[in-house]
Amino acid sequence: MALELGVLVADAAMLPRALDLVRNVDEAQLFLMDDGVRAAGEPRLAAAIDDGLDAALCAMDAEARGIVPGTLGAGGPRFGSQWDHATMVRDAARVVAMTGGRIDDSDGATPGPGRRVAVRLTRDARDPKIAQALRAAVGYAAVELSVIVVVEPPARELLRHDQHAAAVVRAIATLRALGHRFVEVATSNHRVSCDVEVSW
Amino acid sequence: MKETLDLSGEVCPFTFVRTKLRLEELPMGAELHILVDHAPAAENVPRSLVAEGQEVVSVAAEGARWRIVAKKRAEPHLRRPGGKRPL
Repeated sequence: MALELGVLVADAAMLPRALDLVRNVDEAQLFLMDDGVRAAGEPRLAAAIDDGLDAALCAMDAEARGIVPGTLGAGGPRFGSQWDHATMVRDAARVVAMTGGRIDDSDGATPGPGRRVAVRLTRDARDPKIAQALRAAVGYAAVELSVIVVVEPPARELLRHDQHAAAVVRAIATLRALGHRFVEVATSNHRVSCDVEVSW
Repeated sequence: MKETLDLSGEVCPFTFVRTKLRLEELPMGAELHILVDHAPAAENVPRSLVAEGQEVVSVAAEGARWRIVAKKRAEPHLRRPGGKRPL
């Protein structure tokens, strides 16, 4: 059965809203990363998994927060990778992203390789969530998605120089080398043509 | 043909990005030995390889590392037009 809904949660406070969305959806996936992994032990999440929800978390982000296999109770999410996140964004008919900023809800575009994903950077270039956004974007690139990194005014320093954290510099270089695009926009209202949006 | 890709010190998603890039360069049927030292990668890299049509021959612990042996069975498509090898 086709994946109907994919939900990215990068903010633990968003878990209740995410669980409301996946309720009554036959084929749904949930991916926790960044601070969203702090919700991994929530009993409500375990109950949803017990009811058939496919849920995974970013093992690297979990490890960075002291969450390793065995620390969660029975029935928690799988310890996955950005590959799980990226294939969810590639294959879900509807993608909802809750990263701690605005909530994106992309519906109607045909899933599959070649899908155009806009990763919107809405924060200061030094904000750790920017590094997470770019890491996720590299994952998207690895599963044949077409990535457009949309740089909003607060993040514009990102493209002005390369004195950023090593992970940020590497992700930018990787995306460029693989042929993906960076677009600087003058306002947060400026939309770019895409199938899925994920704002950070 | 047998190649080794040492991903010691590498983390997600660069583990599977670099694996796919190396597979792109290899002929069909070639064997790639992938060395990882991050425990989640020892599970997640083989899982992603199998899902993308590659064959995983074995995964074995070697001290603090894991050796994943894969055979190229499908053509990865990572670089877009105009793309080149990442740094």
